[in-house]
Amino acid sequence: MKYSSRLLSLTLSLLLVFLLCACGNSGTADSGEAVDVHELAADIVATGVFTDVQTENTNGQALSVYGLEEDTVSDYSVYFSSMATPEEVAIFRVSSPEQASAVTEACKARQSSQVQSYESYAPDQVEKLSNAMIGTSGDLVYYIVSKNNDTVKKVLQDYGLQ
Amino acid sequence: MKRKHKGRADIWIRVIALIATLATIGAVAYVQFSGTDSKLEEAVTNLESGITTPSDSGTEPAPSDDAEEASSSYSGFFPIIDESNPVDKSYFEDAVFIGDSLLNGLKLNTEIGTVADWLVNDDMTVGSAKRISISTPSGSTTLMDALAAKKYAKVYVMMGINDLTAPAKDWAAQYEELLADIAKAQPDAIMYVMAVMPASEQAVARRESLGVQNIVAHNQALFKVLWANGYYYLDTWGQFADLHGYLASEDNTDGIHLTAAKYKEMYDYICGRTIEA
Repeated sequence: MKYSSRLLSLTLSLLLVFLLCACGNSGTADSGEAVDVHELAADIVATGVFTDVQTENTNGQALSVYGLEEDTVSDYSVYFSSMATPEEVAIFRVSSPEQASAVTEACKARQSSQVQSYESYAPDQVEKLSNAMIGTSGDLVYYIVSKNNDTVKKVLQDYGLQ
Repeated sequence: MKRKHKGRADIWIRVIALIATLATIGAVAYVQFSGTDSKLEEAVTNLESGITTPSDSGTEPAPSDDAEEASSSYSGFFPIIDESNPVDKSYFEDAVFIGDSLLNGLKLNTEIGTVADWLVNDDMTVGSAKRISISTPSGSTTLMDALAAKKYAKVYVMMGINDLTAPAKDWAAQYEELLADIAKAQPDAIMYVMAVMPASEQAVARRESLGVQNIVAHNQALFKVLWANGYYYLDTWGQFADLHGYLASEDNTDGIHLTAAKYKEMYDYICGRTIEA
């Protein structure tokens, strides 16, 4: 009896440990599972729900466009459009809730600036901007303007993101 | 008798020599005065046919004082730059780019995006350039306020694709005024003006003003303005137009804006046509 109750305790303890590990992967800023932002952005672009997104920005212009300092993010991947549309994919990795908040505000400012620009330049594109996906998941902040948010959401879910 | 005949012969020889001399002077003067206009017409015609390098490109021969007075707009300067060894991005560290969405695309897709300053607005036209709001890293500004705040060694300007409905001559006159204001604000800068880009056949079907002949006419008028004012002409139309004057479908995303690869080609093009500051 004593032996079986010890076995039961051990089993329950192990079960609790497993449950705690599962909760740890729900997407907090200190998540141990690091998503590769470049792979994620590339997979989003590859869905085909963009008509105008170009190659990944590598000239360092992206942070400047978002008004972000280099030390605000630890990694990022941004795809701009050709300017024909406001389509864009931007994924940022942050290290703290404060940084997440700052980057989220930068994404909202980007959206607002683009709306102002396209209202007169290409008014038919403003709805796409209004539906832009701006969010956080774990240590990632994203700003995505596409033709189909549902398709993009599926990719995020495949990566275990919200 | 013989002496009298010899005297008359001398006189005739001298008269004939004098007439020949006067005729020669007249012929040289005619060529001198008419040659410059022929050069302009040749250059403008070459633009129309897509050829941008004149047969004897380079510095024009220095005209005489009389010719200079008569054709002062075109003396001693030619706005086309021959292709040379490309500069690297450091050349653009003291440059500013002024223009519309096409320059915005150049900024975001090439390495000069983080090197030069950019005063761009997707909606910018020759008519709206001075009043339109421009976003910069330090906040919103206007073109002339930004140019008053900082001195540049090179100014690049590209606009036009947004507003080709006005007659070419009127548009060019307005452009000339704008360029004069920019040059006044940046008196030490080399002025480079990029031609209005071609549009795709599909884009032309949607918007008539993007037609080949209309864009060529606008660029011809622009060329004359640049030549008259000592500004350099970068023939981005000639670089990107196909044999029919259109922007190829594989080179653009919406009939007007370029693919990332073509923006890089635009960057390579301007790197290969520079003047030492």
